[in-house]
Amino acid sequence: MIASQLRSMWLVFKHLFRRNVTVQYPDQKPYLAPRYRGRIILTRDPNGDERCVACNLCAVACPPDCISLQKTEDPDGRWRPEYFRINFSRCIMCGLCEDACPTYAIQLTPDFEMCEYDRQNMVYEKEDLLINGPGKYHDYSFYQVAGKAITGKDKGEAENEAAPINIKSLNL
Amino acid sequence: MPTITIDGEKYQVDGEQNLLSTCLTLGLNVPYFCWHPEMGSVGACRQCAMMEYKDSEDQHGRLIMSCMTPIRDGGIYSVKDEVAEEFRGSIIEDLMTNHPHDCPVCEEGGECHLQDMTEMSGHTMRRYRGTKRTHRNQYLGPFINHEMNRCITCYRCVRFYNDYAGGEDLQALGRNHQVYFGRQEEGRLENGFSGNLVEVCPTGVFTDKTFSSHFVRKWDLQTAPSVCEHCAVGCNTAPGARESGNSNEPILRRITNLYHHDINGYFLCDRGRFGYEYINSATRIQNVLSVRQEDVISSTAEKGDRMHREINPQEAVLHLAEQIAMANQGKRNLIGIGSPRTSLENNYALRKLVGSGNFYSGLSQKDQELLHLVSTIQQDDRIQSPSTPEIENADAILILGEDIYNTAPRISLAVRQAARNRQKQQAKSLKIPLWQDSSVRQLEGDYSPIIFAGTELSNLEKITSNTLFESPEKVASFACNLALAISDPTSLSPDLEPSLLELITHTAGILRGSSKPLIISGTSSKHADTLKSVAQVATVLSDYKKQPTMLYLACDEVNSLGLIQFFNDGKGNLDELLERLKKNTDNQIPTSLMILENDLYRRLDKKSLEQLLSQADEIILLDTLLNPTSKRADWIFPASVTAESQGTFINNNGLAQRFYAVYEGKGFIQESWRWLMDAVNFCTEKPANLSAIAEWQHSTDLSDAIAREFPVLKALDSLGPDEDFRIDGLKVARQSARYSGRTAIHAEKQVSENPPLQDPDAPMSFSMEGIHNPNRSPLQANIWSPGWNSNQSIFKFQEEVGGERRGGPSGIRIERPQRVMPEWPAPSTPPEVAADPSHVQMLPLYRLFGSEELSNQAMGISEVIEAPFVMVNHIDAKAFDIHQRELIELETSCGTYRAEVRISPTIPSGTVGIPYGLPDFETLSPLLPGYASLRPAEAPAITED
Amino acid sequence: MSTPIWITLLNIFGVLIATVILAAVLTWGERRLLGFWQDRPGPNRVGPFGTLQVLADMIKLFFKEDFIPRFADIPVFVLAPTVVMATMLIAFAVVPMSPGIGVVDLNIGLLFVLAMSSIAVYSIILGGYASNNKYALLGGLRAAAQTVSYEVFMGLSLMGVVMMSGSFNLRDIVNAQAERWFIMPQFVGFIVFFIAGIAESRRTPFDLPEAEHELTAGFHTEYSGMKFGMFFVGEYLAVILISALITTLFLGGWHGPWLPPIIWFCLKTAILVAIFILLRASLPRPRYDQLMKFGWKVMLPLALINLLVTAGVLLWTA
Repeated sequence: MIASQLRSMWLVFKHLFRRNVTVQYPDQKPYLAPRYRGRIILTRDPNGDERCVACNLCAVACPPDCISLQKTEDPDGRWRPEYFRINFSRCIMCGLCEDACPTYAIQLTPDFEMCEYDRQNMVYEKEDLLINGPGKYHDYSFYQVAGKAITGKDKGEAENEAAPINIKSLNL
Repeated sequence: MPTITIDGEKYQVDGEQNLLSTCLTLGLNVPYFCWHPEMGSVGACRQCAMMEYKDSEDQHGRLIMSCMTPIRDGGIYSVKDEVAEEFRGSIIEDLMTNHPHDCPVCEEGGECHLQDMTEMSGHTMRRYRGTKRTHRNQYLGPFINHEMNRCITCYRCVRFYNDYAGGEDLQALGRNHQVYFGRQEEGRLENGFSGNLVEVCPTGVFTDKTFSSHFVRKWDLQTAPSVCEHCAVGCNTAPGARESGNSNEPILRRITNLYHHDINGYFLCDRGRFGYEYINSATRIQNVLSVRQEDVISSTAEKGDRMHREINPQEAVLHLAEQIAMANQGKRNLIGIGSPRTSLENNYALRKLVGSGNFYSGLSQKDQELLHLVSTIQQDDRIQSPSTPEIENADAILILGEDIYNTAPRISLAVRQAARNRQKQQAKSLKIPLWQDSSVRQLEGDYSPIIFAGTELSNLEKITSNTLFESPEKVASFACNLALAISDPTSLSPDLEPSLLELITHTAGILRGSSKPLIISGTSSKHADTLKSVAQVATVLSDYKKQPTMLYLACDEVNSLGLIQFFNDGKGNLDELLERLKKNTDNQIPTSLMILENDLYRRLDKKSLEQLLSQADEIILLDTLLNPTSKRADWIFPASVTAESQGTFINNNGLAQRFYAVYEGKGFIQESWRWLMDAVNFCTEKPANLSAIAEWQHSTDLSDAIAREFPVLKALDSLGPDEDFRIDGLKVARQSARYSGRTAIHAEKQVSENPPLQDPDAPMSFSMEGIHNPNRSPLQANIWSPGWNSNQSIFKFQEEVGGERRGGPSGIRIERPQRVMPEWPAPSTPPEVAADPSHVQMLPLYRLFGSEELSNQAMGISEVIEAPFVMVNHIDAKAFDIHQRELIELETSCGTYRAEVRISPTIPSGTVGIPYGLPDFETLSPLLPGYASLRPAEAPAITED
Repeated sequence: MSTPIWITLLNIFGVLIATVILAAVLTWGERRLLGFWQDRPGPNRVGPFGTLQVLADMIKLFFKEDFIPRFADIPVFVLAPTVVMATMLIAFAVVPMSPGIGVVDLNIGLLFVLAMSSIAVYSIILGGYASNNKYALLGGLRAAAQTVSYEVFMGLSLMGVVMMSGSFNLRDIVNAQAERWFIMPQFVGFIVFFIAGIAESRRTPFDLPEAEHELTAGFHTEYSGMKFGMFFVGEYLAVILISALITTLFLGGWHGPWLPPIIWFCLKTAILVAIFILLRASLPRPRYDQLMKFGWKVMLPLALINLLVTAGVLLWTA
């Protein structure tokens, strides 16, 4: 018994000569991978249009229910969020919204420094979330693979689509 | 009962069903597309493949389509067999080859049967790399959105729309791989049941366009069981609501069907489905309004119209309390006017407040008499008021003076099914099971006899065997003669026209010869003699057949039959009130008129009404929408609509049904009875009737009080789960378990979350807390089951496929004392047509969209309401020398109306059809049926006031 | 007395201030050392290497609300923390730090130290009682039982040293070790005293009166601000006192080659303090019954045997 006590004391003592594992944040910023799960952003597709189509999947995947949005439809046929709100004071940065997003619109970034003195300032609206670029996925454009027609992309013009069927033809 | 083995388990099953619905009844998950519980099987999609084994020795089995397989006693089947699973997997993979990558931007997503079935069949990865077939969409009107790319060609839409609902403008076009479901040209889907395509389509080809503008996913909808308020059939609905993120106030998002075995089954009409938007309309009253006293420089308001301003509710409630206190001291007359479009509870509260002597029905003498007649007729034990399945089983139908497609739409859909009974009979004799839909439909056979006599018949023309278009007086006399013909064919007067005589004897013969005859009529023709004669036919038929006759009587409004139970003595109509107020003028006591959710301009002709209102010193209105009556009110309290409140309606069958609040109304909106209760609570002195009001806490307290006070309405006592009902100690959750955005939706205004609102009336919470699957009660409104996100999951909540709901039926019939109806004298002969041919009888014509007050304010519906018109017989038109679409003037006792002419061959000569309740024609409605003179309008065609 | 008064005063205040400052610095030193042993830096933000942490903590403690719960027994509540600090400081009076440094030279010095360290337990019992809080009271009870139990063999373990040096005077004891430290003949006594010392100063693994996992913070649950600070400093004073005593009694006091005597004394004391902290870093806390069993069934017999053997050997060689 005594031997084990002494042994553990010796083991602990040896740590005196180990290197510290502590990173001296904020003097010393750690490297964060591009896929680090930090502050959430909304991205745009390569044409500069909002990628979010307000499908609500992020909202339903969100464990603390901190995402809320309302679908609206533009005259060109695109779906878009009328408002898009993330309550970061509830967000747990789990990244499930990013996993759920079918259009790569919602992405998590390596920025996690979001302290505020007033909790109300942690509520981010769409204007705060939208960035001016495509984020981690440079070429993806949802409507190019979706079947829904929008202005500028008619039926049959998406990837892997045949021309629309003329139902008045013989269709042999 | 046959015993079958499925995957090694033995089950006792109902041998009438096919294997698929048997499996579903047993709770087994078998994927399917083309089969529908109401429409049967056609075996088109091949998705429900199962294995059948010859005997217990058979190791290989053979692949069968379960929807096309009758139950064999001792049969051995397998759902889980590898071959069957692989087959189903490859079928879904094929169906998905052309399915677009649309789910995020598809309104069906999250409640999509195709998504569910794809999951269930295990197809998770797309292997097909070829091009996808695409289609162009069509504009299908303001209700339905079309997205043909998503089609999997199950044919359910045309089977419903054409075969089941009798629509003609939706077809399967094209051929082979390129079948297209659409119209020949763009345009509104004309059938009044087109909204069901949204629920019938297993994917997102047809979606709800009205829902689209405030779309949220199914899991985000807060639901509660409700009752449709747009007609008196009493269809059950599941309205869905959700807060809006900007104002934080909840809005009603959509209406879906809520299965009720005896009323609406799987389908709703479009008025019920799309009429909900009135709740969110701009005419909705959201604040307490009071009349403005100050002068304004100019105004577009008419003379006598009041201008209002929003005031603090407390001020108004205090004022109301003052009035009540004064009435108690005898210093003021407090007169209450009830309404057939609000709950029994609200009517009762007003009646309690003002006293039964001061409570009026809010109906004209004519309307009240008609309702009284309906109630009297239904009290006779020779009459049986049929449920929808009973209507569907009738083998001969007589419709008298009621255009049911426009006044009780769901009933007309049932009648359409009844028309197929001969075909079904034939199928039975050929031993074809009824679920073999296409085989049954291919049988050659007449429609079951449907005979119509009345002013106008919509939608059912093709399936009626005989029609008689006549004025109500003639219809009444037809019915009268028919009664004679049934009891004694020889007693008919020989003076009758031969064609009429033939029809009468033919009809009498059919009714006498049928085993389950059904008679349908109602109050919409506003003709008491018609109702009396119809009752006579029914009783005579019952005496002849020695069994009660099925008689369906349609009333005008959702709670007409309920309201009339408060007025069993036949007194209390508006005409009486007018007389009383006229006499009262000498008396110095001022009069306050309290109007409960009622637009009196639709009840009483303008002249009398103006007189009535001018006699009152003050008008207090509790209502939901701004309407002509509200312009005359001094005080307006915002009342909650059906979806925002709890209460009881009594439908055409005398079925009392409770509806529950789906969400709390915006702003200061609350139930009318709560406004009254608030006012009473401010009164310092409380006599017995007021202290009873002050003690009310739950809506159910009122229901119980009604049950105690009115023996007829005793059913209210045992109705629906009460406020203290709990399942495992918990309330029922209105929100789904996966309701999203709880901590963000209100965060714009306040980042910390508020506790959910408490519901004092229902055993339900306005949150996710509580029981989500209250299958043991009728409170289930969120039709969802694991793996079954679409409304197809309804079978999980039924005793058996197409059977009663597991929680039991939600309504109870009120028990009216059985009483033999009095002998009414034969209908008076129609008045001689006036010498002046331009003096015509105006008959009410009803429209699915336009005749109902509330739904007219719905955005989508207002788009399809016809412009006012006057329907003239083609012979009369020639006589007047007027043509289609010309303008015509109608001189009535209450002013001149101007509208387009529509020429029709069916409208009886000497009469003109006036659309009932159409915008701009609302004030004409109380005059119907009445007389007016007709003259061509003088150009220029500028509409007068 | 021949010593000038100013030297006496210097001695008194020098020792007083030095010990108090040392105790305060130890709050930083302990955290720093614990940090190193746990592969992290410890407090390093305030001043060079975080040395001013002490100052920061002190400012914090001084400015904290001096909260006295309304249900407490106020006079006792206020008095309790002062007792521990006072007794510990008084005990330092008799500790000889070098030939010239030391406040008084009592001939019953050892008994005085033992007496003072026993009085310190009053502070804890009173604090626990006056808090009127069940955790505090439980902590106080534990402290009383623990001190009474370990006090017995703590005294006994020293009797060997006393017998060998023939004096209770600490200076005499130190001088008796000029050639040979008592740790060698009295190794068992050293071990027993060391363990008893840990228990006496209520340090891990014998910190059952505090036992934050069970008793929130034990006897000082209700204490905050400077009153808590006094308990805190009292604990560190106890650590230093025990270390100084061990140095004096077993490790030859200021004796050592080359270096000046005071340096030797401080060095030996410092190493012992570090061992105290190492114990905290490495050993878990026993259960209460284990603690009592260990004291009565192992340590007491051991101390008695040591006493007998020492006495026997002394008689034999005399």
